[in-house]
Amino acid sequence: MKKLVLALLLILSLLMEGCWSRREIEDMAMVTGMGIDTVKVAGKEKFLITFQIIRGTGGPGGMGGGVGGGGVGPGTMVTQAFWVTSSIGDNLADAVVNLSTRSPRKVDLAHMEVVVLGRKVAEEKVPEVVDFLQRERTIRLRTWVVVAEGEARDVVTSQPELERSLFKGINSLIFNRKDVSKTEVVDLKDFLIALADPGREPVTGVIRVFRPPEIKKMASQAATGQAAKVVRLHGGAVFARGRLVDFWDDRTTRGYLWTQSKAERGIITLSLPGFSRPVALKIRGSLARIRPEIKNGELKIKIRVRVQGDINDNQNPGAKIADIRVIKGLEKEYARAVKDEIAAALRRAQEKKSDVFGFGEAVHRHLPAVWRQVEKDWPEVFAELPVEIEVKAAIKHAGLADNTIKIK
Amino acid sequence: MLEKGRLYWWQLQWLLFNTVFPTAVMFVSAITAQVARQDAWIAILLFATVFGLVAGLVCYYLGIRFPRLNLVQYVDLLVGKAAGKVISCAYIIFFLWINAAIIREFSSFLATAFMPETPELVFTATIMLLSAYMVRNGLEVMASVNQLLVSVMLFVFASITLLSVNDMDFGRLLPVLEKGWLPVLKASLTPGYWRTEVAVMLMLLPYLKEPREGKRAVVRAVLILGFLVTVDVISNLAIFGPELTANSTFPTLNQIRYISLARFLDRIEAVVMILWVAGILIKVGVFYYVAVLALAQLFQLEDYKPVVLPVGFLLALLSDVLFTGSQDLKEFIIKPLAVMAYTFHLAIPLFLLLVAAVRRVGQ
Repeated sequence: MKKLVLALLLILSLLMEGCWSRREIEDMAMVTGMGIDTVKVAGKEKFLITFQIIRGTGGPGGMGGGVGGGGVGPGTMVTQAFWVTSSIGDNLADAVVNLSTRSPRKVDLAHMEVVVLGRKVAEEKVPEVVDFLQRERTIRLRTWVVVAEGEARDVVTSQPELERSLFKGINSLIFNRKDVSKTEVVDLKDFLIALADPGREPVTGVIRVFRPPEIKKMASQAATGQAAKVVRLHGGAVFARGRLVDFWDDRTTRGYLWTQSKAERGIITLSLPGFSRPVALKIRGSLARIRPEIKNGELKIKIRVRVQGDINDNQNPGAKIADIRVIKGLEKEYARAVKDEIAAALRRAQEKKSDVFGFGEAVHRHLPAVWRQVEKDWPEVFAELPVEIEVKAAIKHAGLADNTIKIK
Repeated sequence: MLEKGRLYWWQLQWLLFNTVFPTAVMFVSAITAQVARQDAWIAILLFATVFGLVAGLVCYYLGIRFPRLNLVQYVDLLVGKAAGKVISCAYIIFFLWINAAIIREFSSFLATAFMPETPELVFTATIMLLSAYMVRNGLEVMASVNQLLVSVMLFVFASITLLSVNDMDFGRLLPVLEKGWLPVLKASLTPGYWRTEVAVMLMLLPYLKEPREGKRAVVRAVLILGFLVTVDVISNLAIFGPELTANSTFPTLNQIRYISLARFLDRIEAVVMILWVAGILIKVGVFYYVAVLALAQLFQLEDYKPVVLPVGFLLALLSDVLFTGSQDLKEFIIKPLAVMAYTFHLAIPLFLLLVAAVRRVGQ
């Protein structure tokens, strides 16, 4: 009897080894990133999602060849390794499923790294977009959220540079943003938190599509007729109450970064009194503290920022840049420049009543009693909020040169 | 005696631990944060622990009056045969009911988060077959299996917490006690009843090698749970903030999915889930075992093994028909189950303890 049962179990385990939710890799259409736009179809507004999908094995042309094979336009290479496609639906869920009317493989969002929101979507459709992004099981909260300056599909259809995958490239740009400190990008988790939790509004990166001058000149490019559009990531997309309200330039965005201790590396250019040409510093990190306080019955915010930098580029030949007195002046100038940038960001944010700095959050955490009074009309309170900015700057190193050489 | 196995106190301690932990770590932070917001951890650290300690100690002091008898055996001595049978029946029904909810939690969790195309019945059948086998083999086997699983579970829990420290912003726990103690107290009712599940000790205490050590087992189990579940809730809150924690179906699953170490170590949720499933196996097993044992005792069978399979079948069936879906199940867990749990884990044992004290029954 026992042997019979055992034998039966063994046979069964052979027959039942499969499972329902099994997916073979060659049957999957793995989405690396998607762009969300809206379009009018027969008078009705619908969502248009543009996907970049890994073609993997078995696709036309396969994965063969590396980038830069002689004579092959970048377009050809891309169509081999990736499939750029789109689908339309009444909502995100519908649009994603509708892709399966076209994709012979099962659409899989689990490896998606970036979601690009088209400008119009970011302005008007955020409430209609966030729920699916949080609820859908396969989408990860670590997915980056960026905003396209124009249509998201222009981003997805642009050419990758250096990497084979556009979104792998964008993903790396996002990781490298700290080397430049001219943009901030949030992932889905932080985007949702900033949308939902009181006292802070989201800022994320802007993807801009442009035609690079160096490629336009290449004759081979003109011959293939390929639209050589590429992307850059810089500047900030600022939200308020679930809407995109402002695009910030690099300087303003860095003003925001200083207040969040997020300006880690990058270059800041200063013009020094007594120097005819500017001096560039390498940023060596920032440390900020935001504290709310009540003075004379009035709510006030104090921002204290400590920044460090190295001399990286002096354009004044013969200047005694490494002199300790000059460095003291440089530190002063550095602090003033940082303060100016913060003030610029503050002005823009208050104009749009968007508390990207998390002042409300600071009030909520440190003065909960005060927060209860101002919570209701916080955007208005924020717009008029007096803010004191205090910056201390230190120059640490001067690179491999002492004073700049004299040119005879 | 139906059960001949004997446990060490630390085996009971970890058995009680796993009677609460697996589902608590999955659901409790969201449910608590919905009411207590960023103060959810206080509810879990303080009040839930008090609830657990009270329930655990009441059950211990009741049980220790009859060191070698379990609830179904001594309840007759306390309130008479007729009333005793009614109470025993009620307990059996309760054990089945709560277990049906646990099994369904497990199946719907797997179906929502991992394998949406697999029928829930498959998960239910799998875990029922496994735990039926475990229960058939008796308490000692279950305790040993648990011992093995607990050590790995603790290791995994510590790992996921450490791996996500980088993403935690403890500022999200501020301000503390924003709305005062009342919402915290209110929020603690759910994690509180979760902790009172250590009351399954009513059925397990006589099988300790030395029943007097049951006190140490239950107190330590409640405290360990308090610590670990608090760590879990604090991590959830510090990573996701109160709004997103309250809004997630499985905040801890989100936490694990969010782990990414240097763009290199990520998507580890599948590995973690294997162990979670193992924990739930013990949880289901414990409630399954006490139901089977109580049933066999009630009908004075010579052996509980013949009822194992029928009860398992019944459990699988109940878990399927009692609830329509996850939201329905959540409703049940938050309200009716809380009332039932406080009744059977706290109120009735307390009543029996008073009866025993007044009538001077037992030692």
